[in-house]
Amino acid sequence: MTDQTRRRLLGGIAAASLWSGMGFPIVHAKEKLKVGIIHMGAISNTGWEYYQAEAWRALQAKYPNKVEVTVLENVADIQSVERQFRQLAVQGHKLLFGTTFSQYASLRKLAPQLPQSHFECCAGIEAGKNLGVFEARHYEGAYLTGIAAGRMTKSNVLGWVGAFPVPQVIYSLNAFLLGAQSVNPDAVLKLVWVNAWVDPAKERDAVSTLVSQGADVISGSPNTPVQSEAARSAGVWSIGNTGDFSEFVQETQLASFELDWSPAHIEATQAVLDGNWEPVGRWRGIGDGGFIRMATRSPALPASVGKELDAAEAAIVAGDLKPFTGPIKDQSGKMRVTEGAELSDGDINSMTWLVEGVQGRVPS
Amino acid sequence: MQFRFEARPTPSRKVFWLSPLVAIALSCLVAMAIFALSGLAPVASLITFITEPVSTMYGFGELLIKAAPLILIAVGLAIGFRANVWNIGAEGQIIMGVIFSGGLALAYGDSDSWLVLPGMVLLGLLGGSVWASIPALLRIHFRANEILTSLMLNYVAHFALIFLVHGIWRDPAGFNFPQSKPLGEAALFPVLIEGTRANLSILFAPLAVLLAWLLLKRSFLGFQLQARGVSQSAAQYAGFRADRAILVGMLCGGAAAGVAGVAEVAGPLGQIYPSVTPGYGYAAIIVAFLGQLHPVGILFAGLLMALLYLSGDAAQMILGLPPSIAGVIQATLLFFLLSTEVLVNYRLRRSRDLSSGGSIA
Repeated sequence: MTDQTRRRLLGGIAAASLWSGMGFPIVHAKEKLKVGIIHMGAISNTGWEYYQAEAWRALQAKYPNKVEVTVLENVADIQSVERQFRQLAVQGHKLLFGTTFSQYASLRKLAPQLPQSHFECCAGIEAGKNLGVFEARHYEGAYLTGIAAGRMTKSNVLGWVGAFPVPQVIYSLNAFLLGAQSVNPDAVLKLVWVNAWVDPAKERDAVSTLVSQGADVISGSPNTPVQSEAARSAGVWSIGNTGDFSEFVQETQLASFELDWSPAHIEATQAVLDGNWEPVGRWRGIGDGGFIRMATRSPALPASVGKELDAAEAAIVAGDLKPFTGPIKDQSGKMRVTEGAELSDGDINSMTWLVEGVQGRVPS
Repeated sequence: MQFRFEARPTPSRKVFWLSPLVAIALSCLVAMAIFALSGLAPVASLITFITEPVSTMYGFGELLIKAAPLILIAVGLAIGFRANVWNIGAEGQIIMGVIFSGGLALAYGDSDSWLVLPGMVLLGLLGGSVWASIPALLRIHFRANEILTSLMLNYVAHFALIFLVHGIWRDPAGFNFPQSKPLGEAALFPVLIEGTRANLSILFAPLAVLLAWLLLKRSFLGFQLQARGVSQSAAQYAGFRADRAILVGMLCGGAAAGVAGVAEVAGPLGQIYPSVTPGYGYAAIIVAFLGQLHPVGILFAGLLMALLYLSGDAAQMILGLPPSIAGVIQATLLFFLLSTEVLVNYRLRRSRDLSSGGSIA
């Protein structure tokens, strides 16, 4: 709001100076790049929308004079997505960011129709015409937090609250269990689906179901403070999967990783500013310019486990540790990845099977 | 000095038509106050708030596709409301319209048969009606309160749709996400206004207005329904059958909602999602009362509600206000509408002036 009034004011001054013939070098006062972003939910202090917002805040901080960001939040109904992106495009926003897979289908349809703007969709699957996508390799963070879970569980039962059985969620829970099994071969994972990205009541129920079945470390995707608090009040550990919730549950959150989308926002914006934007897919995990950042660990975690996590993290960053390296069997005992082989990005991104030790199923 | 409400001998026609206008005017004042408190120019912001959504042809088309389902459903519901039949289940009836027509749309959407769309509309109409008939029959045979049963059936319908979209209707190429494959051309309404999303289905709304007007004003059945609304015992004494009024009242709402569901999937959605309706079934109840349960009133009320809904975009994009502002202004409008409506049947008098008539305050 203030940005806009300021711009109008500046425009007015520029026009006035032109009128009075003072000859300010207004040729250099280039129009700011307008960037639009549409949040599906309300921006809060934590969770998915918060990390989305951190990305455009980083954009504002980096380009205070070159970029103007318009933010829409709480656009939950699918009927509105198309209209609002179109309106932003018509109003001259040259770069538009979608924040969720739920907008992906609409953007695939819309992006080719509006060539005067460029589109980027977070959590989209593949780049399309005039549509770039970016997504985190969630499984890297999940694998690392899995190591902490595998070390700390006493019952050898871990619990996972699943939103939807999309590949992102499935490869995360698989990697979480693989990480746990890498240090604790007896670890198993119980799985409950809530069929919602956010639904506090169902999430709380899911956690108590998991705990009553013996789970003593709870993770989930996307993880929320609700799940962490439910775990804490049930007297079990939690994991911060795609968010650091230690401020809500302190030491009962064993380990956590956060999402950092600012590299995607900044790179796309820079490309539009430079005039060489291309629709590309960015899929990154931990490391420089990556979308995942390991976050707060519990003081209850022994130093030896902390060292183990550091070593594994360094190995992932260096490319020496790939979570989906064989041998990996699925639930039915069928060998999915043979000894020494590793899954391709395409296979990971279309994963619909669960690794051995997961107790639960993918609804079909 | 004290005031009190005094019943009018007959409801005032003048106030009946004037009260929505007064309510709108008062809401505009409140909106301007909100803008002023947010540091914006009140008048200019109000104009932006109201006109921005329809400043382009595309925006106008959006207004129509937002208003059409609200009007269609509200008109159907109003027929029941006029007969004291309280159908709160339009949300579920929309979904049933989608469920009944969805199978046909997915199976034959890619054919070139022109029969697919009419078939979908008929099935949607049937689906909504069947769903609405359940509370009607429960009411007729077991005296079960239709407000509760119709409301609860919304959840049943929603879970039925979730079951389908997670199961047999899930797009095999959709990355396991609970949504159907995009519908084929044959299962989509053709666009009516070039360059917008306004499609043929918006015509159902004015058609429903016309049919409802004919039913209520020109038919004996309509008279029977309204008689029941004014006085159930009088209607019974006159020999008008209550069970028929309940059934007709419920079915009108259900049929309209079912068709609206088809219009959504075969229109702006183009795909079946677990959440096919953003609360149209509930918003339509508000629209029905905003339009004084009169078909023509509902036509305007639906357009107004849709405009306010779209204004939320302008509030965010141009004025930099949170989207809930539009909700606050909608609620303000309803508040003033309901409060000014009191004046249709009552007038304000100084309390010293103790003339005849009852009092409610």
